[in-house]
Amino acid sequence: MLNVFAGKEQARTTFNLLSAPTHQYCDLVKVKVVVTPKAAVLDPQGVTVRDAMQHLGMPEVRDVRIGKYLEIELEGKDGDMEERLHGLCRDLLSNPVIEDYQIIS
Amino acid sequence: MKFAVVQFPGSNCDQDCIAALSGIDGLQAEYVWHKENSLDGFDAIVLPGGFSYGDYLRCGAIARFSPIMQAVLKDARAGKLIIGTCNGFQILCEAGLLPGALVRNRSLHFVCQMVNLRVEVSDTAFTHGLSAGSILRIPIAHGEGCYFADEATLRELNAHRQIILRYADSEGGVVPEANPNGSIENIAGICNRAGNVFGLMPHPDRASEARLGSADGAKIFRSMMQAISAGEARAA
Repeated sequence: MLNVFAGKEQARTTFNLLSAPTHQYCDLVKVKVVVTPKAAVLDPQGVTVRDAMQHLGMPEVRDVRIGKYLEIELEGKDGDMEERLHGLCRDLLSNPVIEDYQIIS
Repeated sequence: MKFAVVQFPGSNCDQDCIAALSGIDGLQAEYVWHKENSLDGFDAIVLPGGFSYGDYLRCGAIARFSPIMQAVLKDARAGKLIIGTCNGFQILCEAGLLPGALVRNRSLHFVCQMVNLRVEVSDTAFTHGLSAGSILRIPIAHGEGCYFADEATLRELNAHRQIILRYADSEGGVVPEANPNGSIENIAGICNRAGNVFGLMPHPDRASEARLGSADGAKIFRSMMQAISAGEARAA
């Protein structure tokens, strides 16, 4: 099983995507991941876009946060797939210090 | 004494580091390709600046998985001196060897300029012989150098004197006007709790001799040499 949950002070070293189960997958699954900056992190890009939106005639815009959107295609819907995906999100796709992520199936 | 300069695909300050280090008496420097598995035989490790893996996903996010990083982590735990400049700093943060993260400059601009850095802690392996409050003139060149850490981490960094360098004005004043990228508390460089891993956004490799505009960067490398010599003397 994927073990990526190292502590905060600990180096994130135990990442191993190669630890996939050996049995065959069949179904193709598309997973969508959204990564956004944490509330406490300044998002100057979002602020700039918000200003532009206000300037372009939408003064009601209060806040814009800009993140990343990933589409991941993978085989199978194995029982521990979700847990492994969360590990992947925590360890590679987002940096938990500055970002939150959401998995949308 | 021999320093390793790790080359990732996309590193572009590796040659600057080799040139700066080789210019110091008694110091040798060698490239180590990121696919290598060992850094044995080196007294210290340099992670140079650049755009490892094209800065894809996040700066330093992919370089962390290069094979050489296992050796870097092992040597970090063993107490070897490791310095990451610019992209090297970003990689050290992504690898969890240093706390916090580096995000987009507040101005959204890539900044490339000489800055004044106030030495906050003088008795580290990287600031040996520099007095606290003294100023180093070293250039920066980055788009994602805005240091961020949550409040708890920041408290810890301050409590354990891990903030080594702050952006300052020429008088040493740590003021918002002297902050080139929006870094929290004007932080330019930090070390880990053990004091053997140091990351900084400025480029000491680009300030290694007077004809480059400043030789202050070499002071950091010399300090590392002194610390290593002192450590060997203690061990002997």
